[in-house]
Amino acid sequence: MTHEEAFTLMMDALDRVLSGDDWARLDAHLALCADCCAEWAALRLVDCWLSESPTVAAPVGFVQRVEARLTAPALRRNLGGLFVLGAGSVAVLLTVAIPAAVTLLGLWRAYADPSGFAQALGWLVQLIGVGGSLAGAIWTAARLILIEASAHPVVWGWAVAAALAVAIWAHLTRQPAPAMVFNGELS
Amino acid sequence: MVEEQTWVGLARAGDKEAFSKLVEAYQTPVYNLTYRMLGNAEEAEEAAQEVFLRAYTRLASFDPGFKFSTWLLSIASHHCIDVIRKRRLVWLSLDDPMPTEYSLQLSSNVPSPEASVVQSEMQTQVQTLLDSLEPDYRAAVVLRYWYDLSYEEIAETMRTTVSAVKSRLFRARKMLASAAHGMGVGPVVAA
Repeated sequence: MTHEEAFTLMMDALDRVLSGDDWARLDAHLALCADCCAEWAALRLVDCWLSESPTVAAPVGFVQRVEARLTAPALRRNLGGLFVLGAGSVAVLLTVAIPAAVTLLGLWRAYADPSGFAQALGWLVQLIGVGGSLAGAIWTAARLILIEASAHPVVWGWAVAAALAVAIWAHLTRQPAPAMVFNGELS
Repeated sequence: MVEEQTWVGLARAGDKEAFSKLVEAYQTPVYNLTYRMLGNAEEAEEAAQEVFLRAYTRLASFDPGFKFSTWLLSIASHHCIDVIRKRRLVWLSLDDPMPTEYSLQLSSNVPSPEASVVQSEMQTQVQTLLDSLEPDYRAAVVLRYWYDLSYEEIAETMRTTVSAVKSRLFRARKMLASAAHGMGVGPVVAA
């Protein structure tokens, strides 16, 4: 008998399903094999510990604390809903209502005072000019940095290592979907 | 059992008092499982509470034709496995409570002081051994030894096959025997 065969019999013995003949075969093997004999002793010890370990009772007041939490989620959901509603309203206000109001005000002022409209147009042209200069400067700086960095492999190595680290971290911290089982089927 | 079915039915209809009855009936089995899986009282209570909250919100998906206890233990074991896996990602968790530091409230009778010391020492070792196992293996061992579930029931609870359960228990027992030796107890075992 191999060690693996003996170990399989030991498992059956621990599960109390080992037949009389197999018991005899296992006993015969244990009498000859010191390794299996030691393993069997360790397995029986662990089995004994686990079998004799008591059930740990829930702490006092557990039911009441669960009951308290049963009512809390509804409140949290309501608060969450209010928060989303508020945040959505603010977002709509900032992205749609205020720009629309400013545009309407500008149009009204341009209609009421055409000279003011020309002045506003001048400011807008200047603003676009400044923005263009800034974008140009950023583009030039980025291009120079890339050219400079390409000359130093250490920089590329560092960038690749950082990208790898981010990828590994993203993989490790990926949140699995809650695994729920419903009578053997995924729910 | 009939009472339980009534409570489940009422709870599914939104009766919180009926659900409280179920919490009362299953608080110890669920807490014991979370405790054995997580190894400390604080996390175990938090997890056990979460299990009941999840059960309550998903009661509509429970088929009354099946055992409520299996469904509940399934939620509990999967939740604990998730907790353990997430816990491993907290790299700087040096202040995690040690599994040996707890005050067990055992459901059995109170033993004598001497017996209590021996029992406490054994419990510490049992918990340390359990903590050395992978979460899937730990769940299989806990369901087998504390709930006396058959391989088929464990497979149903853990959403896996009977052969996978057998394999996990096979390897878990081998690891536990080896770990017991590593702790300086039991005979010499080749890992």
